Amino acid sequence: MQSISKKVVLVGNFGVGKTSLTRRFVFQKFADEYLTTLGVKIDKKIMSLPDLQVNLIIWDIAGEVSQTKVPKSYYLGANGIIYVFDLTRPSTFKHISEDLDYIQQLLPNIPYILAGNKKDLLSEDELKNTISGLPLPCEYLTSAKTGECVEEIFQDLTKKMTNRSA
Amino acid sequence: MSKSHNALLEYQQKYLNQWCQFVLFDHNGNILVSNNSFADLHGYYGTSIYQLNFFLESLQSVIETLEATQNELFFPRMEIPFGEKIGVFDYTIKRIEEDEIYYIWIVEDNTAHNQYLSLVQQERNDTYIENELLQLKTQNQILQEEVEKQTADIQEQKRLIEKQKDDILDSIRYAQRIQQAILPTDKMLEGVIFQTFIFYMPKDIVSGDFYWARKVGSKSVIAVADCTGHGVPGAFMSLVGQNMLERILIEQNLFYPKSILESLDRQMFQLFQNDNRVHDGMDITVVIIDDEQKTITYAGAKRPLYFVRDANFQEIKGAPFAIGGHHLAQGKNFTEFELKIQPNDAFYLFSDGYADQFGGAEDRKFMIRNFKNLLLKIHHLPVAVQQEVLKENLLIWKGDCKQTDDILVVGLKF
Repeated sequence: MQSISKKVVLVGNFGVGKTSLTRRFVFQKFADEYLTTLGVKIDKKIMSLPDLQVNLIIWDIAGEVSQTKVPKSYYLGANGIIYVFDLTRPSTFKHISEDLDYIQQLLPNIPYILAGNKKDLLSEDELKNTISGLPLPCEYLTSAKTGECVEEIFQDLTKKMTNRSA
Repeated sequence: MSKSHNALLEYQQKYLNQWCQFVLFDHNGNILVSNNSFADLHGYYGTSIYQLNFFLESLQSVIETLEATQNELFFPRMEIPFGEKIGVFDYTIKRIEEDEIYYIWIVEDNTAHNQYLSLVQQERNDTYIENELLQLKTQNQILQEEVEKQTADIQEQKRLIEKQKDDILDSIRYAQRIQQAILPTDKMLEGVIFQTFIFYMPKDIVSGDFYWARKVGSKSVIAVADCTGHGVPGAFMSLVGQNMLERILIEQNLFYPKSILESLDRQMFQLFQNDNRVHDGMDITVVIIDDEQKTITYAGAKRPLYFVRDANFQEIKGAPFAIGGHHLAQGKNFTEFELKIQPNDAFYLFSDGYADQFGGAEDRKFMIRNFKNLLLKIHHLPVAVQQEVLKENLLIWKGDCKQTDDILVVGLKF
C-alpha cells in the first residue's frame, strides 16, 4: 500500500484545547489540567484509507490571540489546517475570518477545518446561542474531554488533503 | 567527507559557547556526520534522516527547495525530545553549498531560558482566560438580573391589566343589569290580542340591539332597533334611543310609526349636531297594533317587516336610511303601512344579526334567504317553540365561530 506524509497544523487562540485534541486523537487520553504550549509539539499518527496509508504529522503550535504572531516557519510545508476555538470563550472565535485570511495568504489552496471545542461545557441552549453568534459556519463541535467528533475532524481533513471521499 | 567535517567544525566553533547538536546530511537526507552532543547518531550514518525524525519528515519538501539566496530556516521552541534528551530546543536548518549541497541541522538547547518563558506564558494565559471567563460570568449575571427584572415588570403589568380588565368587566356587567332593567317586561304588553317571543342574544355583555314596548289604551307600540356598533358604544346609543322613544310617546303623544321615526331622527340630529365626530344612529322597526281596529301600522328605517299570512311569506321594506348618522333630518321621508290583522298572522321584527351570523361548513353568513325560509317553516308553531327553534338553529349554524353581531328577533303571533 502506498504511504505518504502530510503535515497538519493546529492553530487557534491559547487555551482552546489544541494540545488536548491532539492527545485525544493520538493517545486517546485527556487531562483537565491546562499546560500552555510554548512553541511546537509534534506527534504522528497513521491514518489508513482504503488504498493509502497517510502519516499525519501533527504540529500542535502555541496559541496566540492573533495568528500573525505565530512564527511563519511553523506553517512551512503544511498540507492542512485545523483552526480550533473554544465555544465557551467568544474572544477565541471573534477573529476567525481574519486569521483564516492570513493563513490562506501564507498557504493558498490547502484545506482547513473549523473545530469548536469544549462542547461538553455548554448546555443545549448555550450551544445554540453560541453557534448563532459564530462569524463563520462551523462543521465540527468537538470535545477533547469526551472524544466527540475528534476522530472525525482528522479523518475529514485527511480525505480533503488526499482528495479522497472514502 | 572531509569537507563536511570541516563544515561541521566551522559551526561547532561558531556555537562554541552553547551546547548544540549538529547533524550534517546530504541532499538525499542521508546523515553524514554528527557531533553527538545529545544523542549518538553513529549508527544512523548513511541512513535517511527523514525516516528518523517527525519534524524533518514533515519538512522534507521544504528543505529540498531551499535555495542559496534563502538558505536558512529557524524554528524556535520545539518541544520535541531529541533522542533521550527532553527539553525545549531551537532548530536551525541551513543549506551549505560547496562542491556539493549539504544541509546542517543545528539543535540548540534553550530549555532553561524557555522554562522561564513557559512560566511567564502560563501565568499570562491563565490570568487572561480566568479574567475572560469571569467577565462573561458577570455579563451573564447582569443579563440574567435584567431578564428577571423585566419579567417581574411584565408580570406586574399583566397583573395590573388583568385587574383593570376585571374592573371594566365588573362595570359592564353592572351596566348589563341596568340595560336589562330598562328593557320592557311582559307586564308592559299585558292584555294584548297577540302572543310574543323575544329572542335576544347580545354579542358582548351589553348590546346595541334593543326592543321597546308600551301599551297605551288599545294601542301597543313595539320597536326593535339596531344601534351603530355593539358592546358599550352600542349600549349607550340604545339608552339614548329608548329614552327618546319614551319622550315621543309620553310627551309628544305621537301614535304614528312614521311620526315616531321622524321625531326620533330629529332628536338624534339635534343631540349630535354640535359634535361632528359622532355619526352614530340606529336602524329601527316600529309597529303600532290597534286592538280595537285590528290593525298593525308599520314604518321602518333600514329595517323591513316580515309577516306570514295563510302560509305566504311577505315583506314590507322600510325606508333606505337610518335614524341619525350622516343624513340631515330634513331630507328623510319615512313611509307608513297599515294592514288589517287576520287570525294566525305572524309578524317579525328583527336586527340584522341573525342573518349575518357566520358559520356552517363553509364559514359563511346565514343569509336573509335562509332566515326567511326558517320563519316561514316555524310561523305556525307556538311562540315559545319558535323562539327555541331560532336559538337551536343559530347555535348549530354558529358552531365554534364567534358571534358576529348582536342578535334580536321579536315575533308577534295573532
